[in-house]
Amino acid sequence: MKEEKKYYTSLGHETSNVERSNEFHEKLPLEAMYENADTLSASSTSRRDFLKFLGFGTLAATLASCEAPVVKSIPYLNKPESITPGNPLYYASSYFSENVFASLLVKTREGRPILLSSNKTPEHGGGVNARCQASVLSLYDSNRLKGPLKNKSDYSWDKLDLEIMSLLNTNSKKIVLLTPTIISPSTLNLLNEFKTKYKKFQIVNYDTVSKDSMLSANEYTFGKRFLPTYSFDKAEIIVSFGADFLSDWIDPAHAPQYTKNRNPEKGTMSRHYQFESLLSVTGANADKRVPIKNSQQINYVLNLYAELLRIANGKSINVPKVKHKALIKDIANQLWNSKNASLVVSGSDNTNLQIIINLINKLLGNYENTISTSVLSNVYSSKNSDITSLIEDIKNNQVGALMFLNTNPVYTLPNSKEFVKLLENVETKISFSESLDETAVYCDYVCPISNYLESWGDLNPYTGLYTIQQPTISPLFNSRQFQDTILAWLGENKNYYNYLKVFFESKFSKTWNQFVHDGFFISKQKKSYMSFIDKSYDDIISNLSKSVTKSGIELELYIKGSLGYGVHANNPWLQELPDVISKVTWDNYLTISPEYANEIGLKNWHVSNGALDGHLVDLEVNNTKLTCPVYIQPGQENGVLGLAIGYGRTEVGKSGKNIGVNAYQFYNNFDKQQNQNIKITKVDGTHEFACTQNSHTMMGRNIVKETNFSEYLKNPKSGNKQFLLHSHKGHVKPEDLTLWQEHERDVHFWNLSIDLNSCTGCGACVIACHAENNVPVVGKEEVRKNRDMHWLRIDRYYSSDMTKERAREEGIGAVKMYKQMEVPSSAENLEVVFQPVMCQHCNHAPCETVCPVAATTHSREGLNHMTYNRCIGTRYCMNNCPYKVRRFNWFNYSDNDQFDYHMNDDLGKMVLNPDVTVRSRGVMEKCTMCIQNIQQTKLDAKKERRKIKDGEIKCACEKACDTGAITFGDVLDKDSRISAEKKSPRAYYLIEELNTQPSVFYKTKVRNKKV
Amino acid sequence: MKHIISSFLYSLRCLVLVVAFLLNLNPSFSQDVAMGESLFKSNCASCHYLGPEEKKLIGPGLNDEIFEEYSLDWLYKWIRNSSELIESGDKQAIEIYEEYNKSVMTAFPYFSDDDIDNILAYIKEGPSEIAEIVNEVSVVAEGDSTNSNTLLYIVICLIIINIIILGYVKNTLKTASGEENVSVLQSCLIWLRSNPSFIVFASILIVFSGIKVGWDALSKVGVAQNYQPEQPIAFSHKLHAGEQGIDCNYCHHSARDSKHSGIPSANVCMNCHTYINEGQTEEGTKEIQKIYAALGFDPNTKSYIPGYEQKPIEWVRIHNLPDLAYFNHAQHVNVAGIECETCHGSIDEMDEVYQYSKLTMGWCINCHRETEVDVDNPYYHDLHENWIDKYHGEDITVDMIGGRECAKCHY
Repeated sequence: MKEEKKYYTSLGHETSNVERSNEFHEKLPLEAMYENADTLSASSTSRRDFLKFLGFGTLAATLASCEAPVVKSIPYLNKPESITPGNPLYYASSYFSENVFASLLVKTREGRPILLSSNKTPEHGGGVNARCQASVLSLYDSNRLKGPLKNKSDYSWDKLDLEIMSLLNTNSKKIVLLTPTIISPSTLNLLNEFKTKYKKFQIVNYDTVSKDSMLSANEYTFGKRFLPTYSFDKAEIIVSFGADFLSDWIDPAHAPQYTKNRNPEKGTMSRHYQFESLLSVTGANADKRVPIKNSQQINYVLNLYAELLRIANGKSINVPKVKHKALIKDIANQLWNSKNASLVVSGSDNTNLQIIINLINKLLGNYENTISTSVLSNVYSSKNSDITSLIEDIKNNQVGALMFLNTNPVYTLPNSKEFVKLLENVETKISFSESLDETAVYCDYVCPISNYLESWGDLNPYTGLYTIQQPTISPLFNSRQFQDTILAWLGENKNYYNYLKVFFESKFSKTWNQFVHDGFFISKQKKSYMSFIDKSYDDIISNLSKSVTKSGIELELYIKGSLGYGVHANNPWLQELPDVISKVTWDNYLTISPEYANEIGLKNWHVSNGALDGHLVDLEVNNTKLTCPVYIQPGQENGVLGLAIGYGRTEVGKSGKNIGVNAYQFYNNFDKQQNQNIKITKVDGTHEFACTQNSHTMMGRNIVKETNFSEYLKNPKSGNKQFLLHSHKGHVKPEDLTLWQEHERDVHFWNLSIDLNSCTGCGACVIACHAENNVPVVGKEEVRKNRDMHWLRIDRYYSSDMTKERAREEGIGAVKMYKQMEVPSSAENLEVVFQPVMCQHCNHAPCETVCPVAATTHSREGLNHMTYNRCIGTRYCMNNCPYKVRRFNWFNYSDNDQFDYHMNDDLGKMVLNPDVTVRSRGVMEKCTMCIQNIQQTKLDAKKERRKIKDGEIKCACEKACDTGAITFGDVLDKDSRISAEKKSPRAYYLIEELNTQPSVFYKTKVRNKKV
Repeated sequence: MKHIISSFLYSLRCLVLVVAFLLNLNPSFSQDVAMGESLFKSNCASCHYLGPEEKKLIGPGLNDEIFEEYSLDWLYKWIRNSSELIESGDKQAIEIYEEYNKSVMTAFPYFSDDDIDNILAYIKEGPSEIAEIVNEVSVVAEGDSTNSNTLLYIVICLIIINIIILGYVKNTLKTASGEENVSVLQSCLIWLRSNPSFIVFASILIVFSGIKVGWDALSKVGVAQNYQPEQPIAFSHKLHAGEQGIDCNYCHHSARDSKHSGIPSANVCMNCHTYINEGQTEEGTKEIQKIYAALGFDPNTKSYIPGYEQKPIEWVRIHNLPDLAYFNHAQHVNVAGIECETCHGSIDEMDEVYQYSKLTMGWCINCHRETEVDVDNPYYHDLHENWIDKYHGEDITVDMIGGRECAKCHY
């Protein structure tokens, strides 16, 4: 007999079992609902009566709801003296996560940290990047652990402490603490004490993305394992081989250093060459960017070294040939001419290559000039071999207890499945983490640690610099900072705060209170320099030349400025922050060059609503296979693929779960560059991207004005040609033909200047704007519909080989010309510009004239006001805005389960700025130039009966911009910085031809290309 | 008539007192007394009554007798730091210390000699009785108005009764004369039929007054004027701010430098109520107990109960601005120098506080139209010169410098 086919609607649910004839076997027990069914049917209440009751009831309810709800006001019982409700309090603190250090000023309101900004420390640090900015939201992450766990069920600290102490005492095997680099001197001291009590204790450093190659190279050339500090501001020529030093290399403070020497007004500018395979933030800012394959990097470095050797002492060494021989020669000459004031850096994970880089810098005399071996960086220390040997130890059953502090190896190790199996060999696994992450899931004990904004600490990121980490809020949950737990396990009856204070005071003669107030202090130590070991490096050179093999496709893993190592994956601000280059949100993807995509038939295309879709591929590296979407990236070297780490988290809260793919699976041998055994095959299906910018080029318009430094020196107005209109009066400036009446300017006239030469495109300002102005997160689906709410966006434009001049010369027709203009230049010629765009606060505002209810109006201080309570949501203004900076609230983004991000839970809402309205559905919003800060500062000045000082008011974006690209001020104040900026020959208005007369202006981008 | 006579008598007394007060004034001293008064009210009034010594709050009542009892030098030391004086073994100081259950007076080390001189001058001057008298006058005036209202009602009732009686008389007369009895309603209808223009006029009147009533009703939506909720503790502003004369800023101190005026935390209450355990009435004592219950304070031992689970006091908020409107107390109290009473009414006469003002946007704007900018503030200095030229010496009001722009309050 033929077997009957079975159909399933879902697993475990056979359709054949469903009774079809009579769905309800029994009568519905409706009548049993009422106490007495008989009286119910006998009652005289007719349908008419029911309707009467209903009508009356509705009316009564409506009337009753007219009464305003009772609002409670609950004051402190014992108000702390320092807190005045309604006024902010600032605390100095520090941030150290993902090997990024930043010295912070934390703004708190009514005891809640709500905004982070940089607490400028002298010389070093201060790099508050986008992730650091956003970390304030991670404090209010509802996914954080609420208390200690044992075998995933709630436990108490007391019992946990006793059990673990007895386990540690009876344990005869190794006790290992796996941790990223610890830069806290007191914590290291504490761990030493721990080691004296528990002899088997041992620390293994594991930086997720290590700088082992640089540390080892320095060990080889200087005899000591260390990382120097770099001064990009002192370098005249910068050559970088794949080091993304403006985004994620060693220190985000390199970006402000770099832009310091990129100011054309000074009369000198550094020149920056970048050799790289993917298009990085640093490459996008370079004067000359050369796309090369990763495997070729060795050849280029060797060639440069050989060329320099030839110039220096006429020695010649055998090196492989490269494509850009002439360019390397030219660079070598320039480097030699700028001896003692140049920098050559590399992002490679190859120790031998880094040794050559050291040799080059030594040859150029850069040590102690642009590279300091007396002030060292402590932020990286891990040795890759330590982790491999730890894994060996676990395999050999030598580890009895394994503690994870702020590390997540199950997520970040390439062979994580194997690692999970190995974990069974370890008897006691203890996790110190803020949330139940991929590793904590496998741990016996989970000790929730407090967020850094709830903890005490001291940090020593650079030689001589000490900074404080102080709590700005009481722990929200039953968590305990790591050091307190260690003290408890030492059996000591004191807390870490006292320990730290005693440690500090015994070590330094500084007063503790001053240290806590300032947030940092510099201990002046005798400078000791490292000396270069004089030995023959010939074998390294020959080894390197031999190591270059022909390779097919190559894969490079890269770090996105938004998500980093993936620690903050559950932070919706960062997920929605567009990638600096691709402008894609909520995703990672395989980047691929246009030529190569074309070759294997991969495409990106736009669907009818403008959103971007792309093909899917199977990526295979050393037999590990992953399906990921493809994003076609102009400027990328042919045959190289790029994939960002930090995505594909599985044990993370509601915002970050299963976003993108986990690229750590390919992070074999801790090398970001994978050159062997890589295959991609196209698979069926399409992927939906959420991309905030869908046009690549400026289409021949003067949106970002650009010039070269040589031209600028001849004429500072170069590249900034005045736009002229044809009129009956002849050629006139747009402002000479106006229909508008001028506004009165008699109080203040606020202006904002954006220096395109200082903007690296990093996106920290976007996050700061979110935090300051309660900008909602809308999620991937809405971003796809171009409904993102960013008040401030950073436009990225690629250059195009087609220009109007070229079309005229070559006789190319308009249709073909514009078609060609859409295509970005070839990788070799590609140039990238960034432009932050927010509301331009036009003084002749197109939006104001079309609002039917006067909800958007102009102030006499030069601001374009947006009144939410007046707005009826016609969206005429959005339509009429030439800059497309107005954002419409299509939905209620707070308290709405459809948008389940931080504004949908009570905890996440604690990050909201109480001075700014949370907008509701149906109203328009946009940049206000942080009017709450303007008003507050004006009030402070009036209270203190004085004038406003220049620079006193700072917009959130300006505060966040480390490179100082944004300046805000009053142009009626003749001595202000902004008045000087406005007079600059580089200043121009965006889309000047419309004569909108914005209060925001830009300064031309100046590159220092060699001519 | 009696009222008129009594109010006349009051005003006469008032006038006499004012004249007497003015005559009594030493002109070179006047500034000091005013300064002293404000210093006294914000720093001393919470513990000291200005008057006979027996009238104790926490400390003794203060009057010019203190100058006989203590030397000026001693007073300086005592006010600046009394505990130092006690420790130094000063006899008089220890005497007071013992008398007041070893409670220490708050130290004011930041007072300058001038400040203390001013306060002492004010104490010497004694309480000004004008304020009290004015209060009484206003109370009387209020009584007047209620009385005149009852009079009006009585008159209206009389008229209505008269009309009914007259109608009845008319009908009786008609029946007596044998004419057909027409009801009032019928006669009205007959009149209306012959006067169609009246119908038109009346309907217009009805429609328009309907619109007016509707408009007024709608404009009251969300306006909570006179909102007077019951509070968890029957705190009387009349007693504290009125009778005791405690300065508003003593408890609502953040009004001067923050956006919120701030509901005082319970520890501010305890500044006085550590020692004042009894109210004027039995109910008052019960209400004071509520503060102790919240904080866990034992008035018998004058100490806080260790390990007590404190219960915050849940006051009911009276003034509720919508979230979309930004209001800053410091801007108005500190910079503009607006008196609290301007918006909050005579709080010092309210046993139970209610919302005095409408708090509507129109109400805000009106004030911004009328209020002049304090051009003496250095913030406005050179701006003001421009304005003089521009507005030809007109008074500069808030709205002239952008005080009516939307996003000054809505952001």
